[in-house]
Amino acid sequence: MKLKFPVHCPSCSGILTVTELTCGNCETRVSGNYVLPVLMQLTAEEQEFVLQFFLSSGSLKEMSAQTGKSYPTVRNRLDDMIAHIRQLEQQQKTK
Amino acid sequence: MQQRALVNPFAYFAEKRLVVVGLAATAIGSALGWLFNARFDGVLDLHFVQQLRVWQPLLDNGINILSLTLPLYLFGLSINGKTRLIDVVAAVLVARIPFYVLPLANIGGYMYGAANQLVTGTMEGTPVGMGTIAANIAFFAAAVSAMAVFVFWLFQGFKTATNSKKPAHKWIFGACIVLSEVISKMMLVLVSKI
Repeated sequence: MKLKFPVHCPSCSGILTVTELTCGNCETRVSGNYVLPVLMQLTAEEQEFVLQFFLSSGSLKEMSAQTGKSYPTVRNRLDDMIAHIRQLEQQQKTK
Repeated sequence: MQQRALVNPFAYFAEKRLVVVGLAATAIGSALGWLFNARFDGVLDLHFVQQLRVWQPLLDNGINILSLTLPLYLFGLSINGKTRLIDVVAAVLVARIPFYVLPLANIGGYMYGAANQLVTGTMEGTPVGMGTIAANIAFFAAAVSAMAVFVFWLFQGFKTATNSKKPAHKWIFGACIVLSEVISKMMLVLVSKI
């Protein structure tokens, strides 16, 4: 089973931060409070979209053919994601 | 997918395919208009006449498509600079398809006769048969349904083309349809004088 990486708090929906990292080899643990990179803060669907966009060499036309959605639908999704990423960046700057 | 594609075909089909389907439907609708004496004399109008020339329904539809496309495209550009003309044209062409079925109601001049009987009966106070009243009510219901599907599809297409989200856009969209109706009527009057 592929586990879903949690990005948002299940209790208050706030963005989660990383407080511990563990080395898979020697089990060394690093503690702190690390903010997730902007791309990691996107929802699973948005991350999938970014991956598809990258794999289709940034061609929205190719993406629309692959996903079976029209060009303006794919472009609108991209525009919405750009707006979302800008909002996340703004939030990070103000923190 | 099929149901969703029917609700919003603009989200699933490529613009070229939508334009081809829309143009084919316009040609068929215009042919039906000529065969059954229907004039598409306005963006939201359809009237049956006694006689018409072969090119009249095609010209009506051309004017209607142009009258709808221009205000919607300009409004779309003001919402989103990335709005493409072809997406607005596709929305207009496909949204008008329900209107093209309506001329079938006048096979053998039936609806023209029924509408005339109703008007004459009402004006002169003579009795109107139940069949005539029922035919007029049925046609009215069909015309309202066609208009509802037209507005719904046009809005879906416009929303997809422009990524419009604000509630105020719905009101301006409505105003654009009214403006298109005025433009189409004016153009039809101008063309008839030529």
